[in-house]
Amino acid sequence: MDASYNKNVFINCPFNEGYDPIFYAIVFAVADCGFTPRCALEMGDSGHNRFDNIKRLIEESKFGVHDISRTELDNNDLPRFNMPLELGVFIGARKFGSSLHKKKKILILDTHKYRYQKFMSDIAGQDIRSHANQASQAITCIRDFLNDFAGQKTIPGGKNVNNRYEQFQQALPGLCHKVKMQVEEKTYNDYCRFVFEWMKGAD
Amino acid sequence: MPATQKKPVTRNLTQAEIDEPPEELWTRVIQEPVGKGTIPIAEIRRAVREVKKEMRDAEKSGIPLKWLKKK
Repeated sequence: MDASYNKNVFINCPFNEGYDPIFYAIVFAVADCGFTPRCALEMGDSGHNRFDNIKRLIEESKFGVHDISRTELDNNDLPRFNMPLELGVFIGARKFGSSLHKKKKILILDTHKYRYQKFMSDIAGQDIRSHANQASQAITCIRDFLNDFAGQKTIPGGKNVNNRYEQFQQALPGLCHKVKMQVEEKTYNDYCRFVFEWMKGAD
Repeated sequence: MPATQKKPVTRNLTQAEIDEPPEELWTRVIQEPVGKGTIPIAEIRRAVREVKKEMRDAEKSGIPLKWLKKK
């Protein structure tokens, strides 16, 4: 297994405009904590089988952040269940995988800490935290989760990470403008490049 | 894996590489970026440098930047 495994954080969350503020905050927080965000969007529209890609990401990631907050009825009165499905694959990998995969770490995010009991009670006992639909709270959840696995480093507190995220958010329109791109046009990969270059602290 | 799907190229990293900042690792592990992110990394680095400087200057002068997102 590639050594990057121990730094890879698989982000399992919805991809839609309404969730974007939380999603981009999570990606920033993972990177800011010294880990590597991985999610299905990094493959762009490659045309590869999406679920195959997701399984590969799970295989390559020690950590999994699973946001089940959008498990709710859609216009067809059916629940969106991709996130719980991918969470199940991740838990399965930890249970039945090799010794490497048995050490996988899981963080489950939801709007409310005990909402899962109404639709997925079997996941009781996992690390489930509430972000209350707030990007700032999601950042703190990510920081607190990853801080336990940061080795000898201590990651600055959630408030500090939030301050840096706020500063980056203020800069993002300028960064996009400089490379002739509208903020809403940026792809996930664009965003990650901006984040990582921003963190390098080049003046 | 479907025959049309190219197996990602992976290799073991050295300890020095493991200790690298994550952004370097990220550019290495994402070996098949096929999204729209085709802006040269040098251009992004330049943009970051310029924006950071403009933000610092704006803070000193008190003149808000046109692109600066209002709080």
